[in-house]
Amino acid sequence: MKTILALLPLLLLSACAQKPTTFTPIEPAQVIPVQPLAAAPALATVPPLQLSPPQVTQVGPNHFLHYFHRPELSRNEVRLIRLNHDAYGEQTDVLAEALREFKHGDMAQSPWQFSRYWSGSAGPHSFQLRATVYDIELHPAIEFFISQWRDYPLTEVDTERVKRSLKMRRHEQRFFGNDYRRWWNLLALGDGHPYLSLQTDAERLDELQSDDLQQIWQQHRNASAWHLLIASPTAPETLHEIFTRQLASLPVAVDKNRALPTLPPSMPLTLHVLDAPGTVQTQVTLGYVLPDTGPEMSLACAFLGEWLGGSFAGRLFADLRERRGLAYAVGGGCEQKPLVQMLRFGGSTRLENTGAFVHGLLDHLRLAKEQLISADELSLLQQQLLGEWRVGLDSVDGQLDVYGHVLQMQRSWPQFLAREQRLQALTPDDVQQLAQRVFAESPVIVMRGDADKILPDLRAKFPKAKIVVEQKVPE
Amino acid sequence: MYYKKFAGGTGDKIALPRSKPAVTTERMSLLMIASLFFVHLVGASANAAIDQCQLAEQGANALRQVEVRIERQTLANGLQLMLLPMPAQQTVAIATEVDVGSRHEQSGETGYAHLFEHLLFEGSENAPGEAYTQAMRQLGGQFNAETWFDYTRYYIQFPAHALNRVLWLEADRFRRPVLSEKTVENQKAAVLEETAMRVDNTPFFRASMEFMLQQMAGTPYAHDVLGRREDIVDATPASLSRFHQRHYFPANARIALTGQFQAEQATQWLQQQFGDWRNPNELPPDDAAITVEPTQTEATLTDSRSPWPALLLAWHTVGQQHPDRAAIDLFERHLLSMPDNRLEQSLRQEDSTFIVQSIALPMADHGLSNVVLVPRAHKSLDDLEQTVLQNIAEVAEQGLSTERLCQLKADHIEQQLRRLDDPLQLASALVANGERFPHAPLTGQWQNIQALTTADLQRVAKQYFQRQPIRLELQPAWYMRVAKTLLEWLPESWAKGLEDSAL
Repeated sequence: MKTILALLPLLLLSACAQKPTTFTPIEPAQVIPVQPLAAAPALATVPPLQLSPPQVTQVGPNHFLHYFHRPELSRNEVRLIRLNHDAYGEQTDVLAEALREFKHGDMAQSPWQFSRYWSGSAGPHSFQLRATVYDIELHPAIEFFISQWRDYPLTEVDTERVKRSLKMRRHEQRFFGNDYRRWWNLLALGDGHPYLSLQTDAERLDELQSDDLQQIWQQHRNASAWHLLIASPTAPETLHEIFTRQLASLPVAVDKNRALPTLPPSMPLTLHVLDAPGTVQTQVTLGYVLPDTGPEMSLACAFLGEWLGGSFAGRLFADLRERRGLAYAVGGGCEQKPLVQMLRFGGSTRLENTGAFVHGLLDHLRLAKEQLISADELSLLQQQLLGEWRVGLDSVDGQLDVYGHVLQMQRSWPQFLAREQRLQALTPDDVQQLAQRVFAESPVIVMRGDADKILPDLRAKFPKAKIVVEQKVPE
Repeated sequence: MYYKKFAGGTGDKIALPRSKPAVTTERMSLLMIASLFFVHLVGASANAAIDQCQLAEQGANALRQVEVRIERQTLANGLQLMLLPMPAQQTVAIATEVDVGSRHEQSGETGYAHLFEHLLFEGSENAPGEAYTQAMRQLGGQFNAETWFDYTRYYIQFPAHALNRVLWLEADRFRRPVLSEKTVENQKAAVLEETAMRVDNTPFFRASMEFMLQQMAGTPYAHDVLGRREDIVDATPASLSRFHQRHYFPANARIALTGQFQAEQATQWLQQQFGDWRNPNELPPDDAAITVEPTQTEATLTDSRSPWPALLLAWHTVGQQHPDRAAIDLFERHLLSMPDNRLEQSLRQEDSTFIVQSIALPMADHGLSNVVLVPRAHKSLDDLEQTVLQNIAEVAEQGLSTERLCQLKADHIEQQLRRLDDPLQLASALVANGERFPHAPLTGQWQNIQALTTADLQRVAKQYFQRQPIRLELQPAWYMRVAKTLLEWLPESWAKGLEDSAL
């Protein structure tokens, strides 16, 4: 009976007549001019950034303690960061999942409150453990984090559960339509790029055994450097000695100086469509991988990302959402990693808007290359980024996030802070040259939507583009 | 919760308050004790439990130390202000809450509270068109808003030097929004896109949401915050202006400021910008009490886009205002929401689920505790329901240990302390709790929770959770249902093997 009931909606739907879709037309990209606030109170002068640097102590060959004395805090923030500048954390997903499993088992037995709330996060060059703890838990938390890398902690972890959880997570990614971004990574970075090996491939995951778990842990343990970050209301002198010896005992390995991976050549305009029958929206990501990660291009990537993709008033948001109502979520930005930067834009749009939305995104890339930014808009962006950086650094957590990133990028804190001067020196010509350099070729474009419904629109609006349709993300 | 916009990459930003004095003798003593304790503990049994009630009290003290520094004022027009200067910050956060949510929408205007929230970013008399967003962008400010059943809340954080200008912008948009044909049409389109993205593009979302709202049929909570499509499409600048006049007035709003400012100066600016904001001649009546009469307790939904079944169980409880709320809150932590919640631990032991998820649905005058469960191949939805009911019965019959009760209380404080660590969340907590706990917006609920005993939790477990739950089966296409039923009949090892292959 239940089966018959379940069939009913399908039978009813099959009787409905198909209504032709009216696709949204293309419109030229528009830049919203900067509007002065004539009646507004004058702005006070921006005070200089006030940021006390941490006290850094080298406690071993590549072991560092970074102490942020913050008297105003009510609790302590602890982070242990393992960095591998030149060895990439393969199968990071397995290690992160195994630690989550370990936590589930441990928190039922641990006497410490932080055992419920600590977390781990993994990147291609780093693994970070973090917790916010009461004074009484500070030393146990540090000891606990160090012990995760000193003594193998995953003996009791059920490998089958780790495998199943990871598979389920991937399934969820597909179910909610987020896995198409993996396709973008594959196309933009190129097969074999080390950043793609962070995720264990399906075959290897199937064969995962507990011995493999230990090998993965061992591989990650061989760090090029260890950094312990502590932000505490307590003066540092009283804390150092107890745990510096433990930190210094963690193993280090010499970097292997691997050859940098080669990125795939750019391709003529190609629309990659991941078919998702029945969806009512199309998700779109387009963008570039930039191999230059130096300070100048870091600023360029951040600037271009904010200029076009910034929330609320970036060019894409202002034009495609606020003026044209093509999408709810639209924007983008720059993601910086030690080997590459990724500059991506996109959003979700109703299927009848798909062609107009993708065209709108590309039109704005072209406009950025062809039209000089106005002095007003440039000034607004410069002040915006300065303000955003201030807001981002106005918390201990934000400071530690940024500080960890700087360590990973192998820059010094003063080098990093010098970005303010570089930003303020940008001219309209500089911006146009950056846009011309970065947007020189067609971006990598991937979308997920109902192919039957959106392909006629895409073919009509992009007659010269190559269109590739896949039913699932290629492995 | 429906957010207007997300500021990219700021989701996990946490900021710790600059509210404590410099290192105190008391703190140093604690630290020394901590060091000694640590040395001792390493060699001691891992079962030596930390007194988590004591930790919770320590956390509550930290909250109190911040709380006593809040300055409260009410302007002559009824606008409530809460100011918390934090000298070590370099930014200011402002939260403004207006007592208007979907429950206040009348027939034909569903979705207006949320649509209006969008429109408050679209220009005002002195900052027309894109001027507001451009001005906020120029400051590098983060800003956002959310609309829920009972309220609409707006947040911003920006460098401190711009406070005077931001208050001017805020006052202008709350008091004098400009609703042009163009902006209204654009935001209607944006809201419909938001509905498509959040609701229609996710299997089961719309149908299960409507089923849950149907449980509150006949009350103002019975329609969703995004509203009916036809009401959104029919909205006009005139109908939205009437909505604004009816709900946006000073006696219906609260503002909280946290961050680097001088309280006296900020008050003066607030008085300048909001002091002559007028209330309507006739104030609307207070919200009527809501009584829910359950209309449906069991249903099955099918969505062919879904590959696997799931079960949603829900229980009618009480709203945020009710005296039982504190005990229900702790019971929910124990059963559903704490990191080591009992239901998830039981289901892990049984190895019976893929996903266990509870969705918070805070409402002032009603409660719907809930959990969504996705079974493994060998387990039926009925099996999972039994496990849930057993865990409820365990508390109802045996109560909880003192240690567990302390863990639950410590978890409550942990969540409050996290708010303390983020100026935006802190300002938000002040406006959210300011009406209910005007003199203790950070610890008001703690006073209720602190006093709870295991008998209180036993009572609410019996009273609210041992009655027949609302039960919603979420089923995939017919062939997957058949396949799932077959898997449940197979020996467990076979079913697990097939499940593994399928994954």
